[in-house]
Amino acid sequence: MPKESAAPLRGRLELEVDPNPIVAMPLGDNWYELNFDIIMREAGGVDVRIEDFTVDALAFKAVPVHSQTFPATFITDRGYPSSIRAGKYLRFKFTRRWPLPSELLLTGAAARVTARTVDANGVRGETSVRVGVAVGR
Amino acid sequence: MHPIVAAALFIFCGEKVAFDRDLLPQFTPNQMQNCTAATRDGFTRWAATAHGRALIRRLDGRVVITEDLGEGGAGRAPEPSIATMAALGNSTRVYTLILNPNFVIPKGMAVMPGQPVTPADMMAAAWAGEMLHIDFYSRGISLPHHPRPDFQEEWSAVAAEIGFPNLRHDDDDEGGYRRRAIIRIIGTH
Repeated sequence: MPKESAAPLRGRLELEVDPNPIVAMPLGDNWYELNFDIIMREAGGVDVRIEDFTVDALAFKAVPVHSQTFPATFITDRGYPSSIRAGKYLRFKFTRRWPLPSELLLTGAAARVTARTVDANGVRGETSVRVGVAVGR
Repeated sequence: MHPIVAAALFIFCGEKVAFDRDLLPQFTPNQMQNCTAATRDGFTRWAATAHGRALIRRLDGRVVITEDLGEGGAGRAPEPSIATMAALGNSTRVYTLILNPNFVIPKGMAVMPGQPVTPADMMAAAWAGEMLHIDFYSRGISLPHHPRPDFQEEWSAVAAEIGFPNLRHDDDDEGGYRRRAIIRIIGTH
């Protein structure tokens, strides 16, 4: 009869974006300012370290048309730690000015945040969240 | 004369879709005239994949395809009541597939490698992704599908076959997105 064995815990990140949908504030000439908080919550029970994260602009909620990857120093340079203790969370502001053609915003624009992590046991993980983008006034 | 090998019944533009011996769709004049070329091309490209052929051959039930330019994305396949379908039996199973062929890459924006570029590309991807959901429904598997390793494995295979190996189909909002009520504002004053 096979013996039961305990499954090892793994660090697991959950991502949230606030506000959801993101509000794109028009600056003129198809340029918009995106200003939102990224919340990274450890939910697996093991400390994790953020390696980097990517923010994609998606057309039709699916097709990346703009992508930018930020190293963990993006977080630490703002005075936050890039590691998250088990069960804790990290929340930081993200502000970018991007050109977003009106056709994009009218046809299901979305943003996807993807974070890559390594937990305290050296196990790598990747988590993403997709949110809609609405035009502000 | 060759035997009829398609099990699935596709209703497109209000008419049944016929298949040739290679299980590729043969459109009627009405479907050619009144349904979008991108949706037809996407159907043909998905049907030419191994997954598409296998599903057309195997799927019991009826797939009703609707084009809706007001959809927020390229397509969706609302979750049917799987318990009700199981009670009804195979012959009366009905799946809905809603597609939006209005995809356009905004001027000045470039698509990353391995991603859809044209409306037909996007429709091929939508057919592949949404028919994979219908495949899972037909096997009695409710949403969410995206976190399932078997769903992602099959998606990767069919996405590569249609030429978009880098296109993801894994976002975590499928339950909320698919079930939420749609409210359209048709006028203001």
